[in-house]
Amino acid sequence: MPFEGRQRGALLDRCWSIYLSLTGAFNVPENFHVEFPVVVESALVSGALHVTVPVGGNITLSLREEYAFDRQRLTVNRYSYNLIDAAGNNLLRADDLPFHRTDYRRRLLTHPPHHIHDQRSRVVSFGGDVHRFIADAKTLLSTR
Amino acid sequence: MSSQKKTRGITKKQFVKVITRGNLSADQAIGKMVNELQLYERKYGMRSEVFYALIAGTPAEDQPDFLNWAICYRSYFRALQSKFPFKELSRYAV
Repeated sequence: MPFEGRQRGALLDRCWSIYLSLTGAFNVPENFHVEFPVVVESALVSGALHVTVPVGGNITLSLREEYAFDRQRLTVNRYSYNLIDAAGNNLLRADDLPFHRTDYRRRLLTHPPHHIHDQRSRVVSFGGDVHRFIADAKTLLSTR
Repeated sequence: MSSQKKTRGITKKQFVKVITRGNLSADQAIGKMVNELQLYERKYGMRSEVFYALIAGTPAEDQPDFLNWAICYRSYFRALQSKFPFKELSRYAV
């Protein structure tokens, strides 16, 4: 396995915090509670977490994070967070690809390379925090 | 505001217990990644190796599918390398 000992513990803590955020924000299906640990087991093998969860109204939240370790500290090397409708359209998506320096108003991103593509595909600033993204997704869904 | 009742979750103790039991083998995890890679390969008519050489790391990667494909491809290699830590694999490493 790529992760052992403390690294494994750090990865489990990260995944658990995501689980708490998701279950706190959304009424997830019953089977999510069974499937989530399996997804985390897979992350321990691959070094990447991929969670998809229906969050109501035919909308799916997809979170993908790729992990690395800086000594014993867990870092998210690359991520892709997506809120997707039934037709496959991205309502909200965030990533840390380093190809955007400014938002749609040509202002510098506050935390580059982190950014969000909003419902109109406009680039806006984002801090890179998955919990913030989940909260934003919840807010967006509540206004639909 | 949702009036739906929240489903019952698991505790951290239960979460750790399930994972420690280790029901998912490395082979199964790798198999899932292979399935996902094949989905992308069929969708875009391109082998993952070609996709990774041509698109990953370029601005063209800034599409959800491509971003996910690249992460999946790296994860697949990482899992494979931990299962078969042979020197032969290192030349394909990303």
